[in-house]
Amino acid sequence: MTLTDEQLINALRKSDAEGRRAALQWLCYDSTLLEMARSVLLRMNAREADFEDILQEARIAFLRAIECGRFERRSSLRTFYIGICRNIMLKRYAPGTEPADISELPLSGSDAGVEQRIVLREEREERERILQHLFQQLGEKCAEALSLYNRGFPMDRISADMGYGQVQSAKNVVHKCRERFRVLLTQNEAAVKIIKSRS
Amino acid sequence: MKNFERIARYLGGEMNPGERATFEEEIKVDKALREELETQRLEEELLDIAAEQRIRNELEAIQAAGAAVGRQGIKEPGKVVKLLHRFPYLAAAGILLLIVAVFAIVYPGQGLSPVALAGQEYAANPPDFSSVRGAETAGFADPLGKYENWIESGEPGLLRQAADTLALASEYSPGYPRIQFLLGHAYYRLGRFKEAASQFEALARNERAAVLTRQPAGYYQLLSLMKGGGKKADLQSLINKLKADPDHVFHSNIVDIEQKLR
Repeated sequence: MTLTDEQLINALRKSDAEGRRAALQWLCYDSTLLEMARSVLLRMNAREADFEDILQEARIAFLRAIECGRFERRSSLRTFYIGICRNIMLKRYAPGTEPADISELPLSGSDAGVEQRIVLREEREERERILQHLFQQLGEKCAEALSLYNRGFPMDRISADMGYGQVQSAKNVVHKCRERFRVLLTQNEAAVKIIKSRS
Repeated sequence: MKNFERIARYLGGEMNPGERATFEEEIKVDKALREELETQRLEEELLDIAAEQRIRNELEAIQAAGAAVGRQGIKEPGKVVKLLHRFPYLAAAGILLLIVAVFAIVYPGQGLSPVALAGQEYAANPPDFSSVRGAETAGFADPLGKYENWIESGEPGLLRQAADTLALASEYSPGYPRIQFLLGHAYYRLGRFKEAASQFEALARNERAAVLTRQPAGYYQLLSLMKGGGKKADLQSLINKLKADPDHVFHSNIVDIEQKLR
């Protein structure tokens, strides 16, 4: 079954597991979409080895934009996705960016752009470790509630996804979880170090 | 969190230029506000990573499920399994060897608690992921291969990620034997024995799975129940069911477990 853009957007925004699944399958497997994306990447001289990474990164950015309503419907969903691929591609291959393969990094470390990228990657890994630790302390329910909230979903969607009868219950849970997250964050040594270094 | 809303507006770029300038002046002189701002900024960064990770997991689950049923339909049993079906005497010899080997390993475990006994059994008979791999991966990158590695690594973070993604994949592709097998072992190694037992139970009853996939699933279900502190009556009932099949690949192990549990 072919879904219209409107149906895809609704499926991704509303709490409908079946619809969401169909929309994700479209995003991962629609042959026209894949063909269009591949030909754009080829035209932009992307390395074949980077294709999957770029397509996946674009899927994530695409989904986040749709979910939180950033997509303004000024183009078709396909065009929007291809545009995201193009932007990622431009960023990735911009001068001074880190090569995809770590073995291609210069040994001298003289390239400031490369160093910058490595620092960013290490920072990201450190944040992932902090996050994992905090979410373990927070519990699965709170972690889920905060993730949904931060994806920009409206409260009625969060309420439905989390199985709450009333929207107010979801609001209360998100609020309490956010407060608890803040407490845990300010007790986390690595997090406090980052905060102090910035303030 | 007394300045939460204000800081959220600042970080979200929602302040008008005048308001923004005032706020930035305040930050310069108010150390507490500055710290609150940086705390909230870090909070946003972390929750952003969490949101991204969840979407990534969801996509990987769709891709894993797609690989499961997409190109080749329901998976075929692996080569070894097909060979065993074709030459039953090979299977019999294999079972005999297994019985001897397992007996030799397990015998010293007499008098162990169910939990320790299950641990010993699992260590002696770790899952053979290759036996449930299907023909669907031939010629393509195997999207489930990395979960096998993550499960085998035993690293808690990777195990959790594998379990999360496979759980989603199993929703997207219900009843796919390879996902059930992997998910059962991910749960088992995470110490989530009830969930492991339930995955293995479903796999043991799954008619889409080959017999030589279903039988080990029953055995791992038993180990999961033992590890998870299952009731004696439930263990015995499962043992009775499993040992009723004299051709069960783990028949001797099951009989042995029964004796040791008495």
